[in-house]
Amino acid sequence: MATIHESVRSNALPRDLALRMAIGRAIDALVLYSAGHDLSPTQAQWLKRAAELLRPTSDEPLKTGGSLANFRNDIGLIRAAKSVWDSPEARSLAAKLAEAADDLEKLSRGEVLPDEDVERLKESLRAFRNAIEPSIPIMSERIEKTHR
Amino acid sequence: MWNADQRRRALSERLRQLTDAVSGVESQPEVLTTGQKVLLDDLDVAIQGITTNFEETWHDFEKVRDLQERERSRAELCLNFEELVQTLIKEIVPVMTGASASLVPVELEPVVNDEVTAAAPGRNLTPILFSTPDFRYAIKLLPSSAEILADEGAKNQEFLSLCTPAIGRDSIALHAVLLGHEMGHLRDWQNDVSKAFDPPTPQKWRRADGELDLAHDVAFEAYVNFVADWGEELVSDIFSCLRLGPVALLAFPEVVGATAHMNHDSLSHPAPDRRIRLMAEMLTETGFAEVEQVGEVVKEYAVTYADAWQRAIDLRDPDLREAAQEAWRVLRNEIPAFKRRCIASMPTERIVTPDIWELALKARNRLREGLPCGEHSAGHANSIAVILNAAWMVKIEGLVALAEIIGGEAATTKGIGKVSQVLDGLVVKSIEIANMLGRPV
Repeated sequence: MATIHESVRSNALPRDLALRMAIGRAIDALVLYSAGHDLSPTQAQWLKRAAELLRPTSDEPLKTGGSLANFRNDIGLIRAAKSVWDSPEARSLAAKLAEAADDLEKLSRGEVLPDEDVERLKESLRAFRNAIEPSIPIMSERIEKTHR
Repeated sequence: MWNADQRRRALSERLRQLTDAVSGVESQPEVLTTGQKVLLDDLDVAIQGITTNFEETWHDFEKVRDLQERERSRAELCLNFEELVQTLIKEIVPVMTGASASLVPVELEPVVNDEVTAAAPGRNLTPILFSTPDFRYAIKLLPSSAEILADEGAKNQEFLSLCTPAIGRDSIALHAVLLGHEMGHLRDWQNDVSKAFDPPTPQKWRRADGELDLAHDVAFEAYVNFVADWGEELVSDIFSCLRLGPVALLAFPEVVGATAHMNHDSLSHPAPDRRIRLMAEMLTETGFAEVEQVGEVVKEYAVTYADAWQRAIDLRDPDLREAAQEAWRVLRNEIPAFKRRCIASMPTERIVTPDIWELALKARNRLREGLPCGEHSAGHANSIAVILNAAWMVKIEGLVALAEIIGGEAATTKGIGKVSQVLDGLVVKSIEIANMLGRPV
């Protein structure tokens, strides 16, 4: 049995879980918005929260000279974004993320977006959410005998 | 069929499991610590909020006319909340069930509370000690109901869980790790010492314009995580030396014991030998290599592990070795800055210096005689650093003097264990006495 040390992290909820939760709630809000073209203050708050978490820290993330905290934030976003929007450049993926965050914020402020844009945003968020691994994968452990 | 209704049933079962766990603990209020009680109240709020939020949205989806979209959205809603509830079960239930006084060193609670308040002034942090059957040390923030429910208007309450191995309840090594290294994490986190480092993007993964080449995104993510995680460990070791002095180093190899190879790096920690080298260097720089009895041990560690930082990374997973090697290369160079930032962020009165050694030697003499050392003169308490260093000096001597006093055997394996247990008891008693007298920082 190994001695295990774990360290404190800045957020109590794992970041991936917080991100998946926030995006999940934003999708809920978008589904309800599509159904009734109306948002409650709570649903507007869900959109705002997702926008905050989706927005990279800079237009040019992952460029040398950035801070550790920003790198850690942005690399997760960019890697997930890579599987949603096919682009080889961090900069263009950051722009896509910022665009999605802008749209969420507009809706949260009560601005109206065309139905097809809302639909596209919803599907992008669904793909993005799926690209982030669940924080607690359920697994059964297999123990192998090895003779290395 | 695995439809939205079935997912709702699964979520409901998870919620019930969490509620049952909470009720089970609540039914025994006599064994709950103050911190646990506050946590339980907060968890009740969270469970209530989760249930209400989920139900409201589930019913709101009635408005969705497209049945396929309604079904899909409800299924996703269930998954979202199920993941959250599972996280709460994993993170909070062990904290509630492992905190009885027989399992955790409650004598340390006043010290822990004091250290937490000093490390994170102005924050409403409730520390909760709990134990597990594993050899597990951890310090973690627990999610509060405000964070779980994303309620910005809720009370600013935070919970800090401190996990210790139940089997080492009274062990001096445990006390040293908990108050030194684990509290070092809190100091690091509070003062952004390791986070303030801006690691360069390794040249070989960069494009001409300085941006990361996304062909190397996996390696870069691993690199960033190594820099962050290992950086936190190094900084916590530095804080531990500053706060406790030599016992921070002396207890460390004992805690690692035979459970880890000295020169194996792990995903979360640099290899123990690299950390020993760092602590020996830190203690030498702060004058502890010259103190009586222990100074020579510090020097010996420094010589034995002098080359530990030059050694190539030895990580089990070959795919991550390159990222880990890059991380270690930049972290090594950052260590002097880490030291400066640790010292600058710590109140001077919390930093121990060789000036404590006279008291530590006196305290050692009392322990040798089988007496607690919580008091150095009438009505004047010793600090926790004095007590723990004194105890470790008795250990270094092979417990011979104490064995003679208590009629134990320091020459047999069984006898050493028993004398050591007496020493652990004396230290716990010393801490209690110091707490009562008003322990100095």
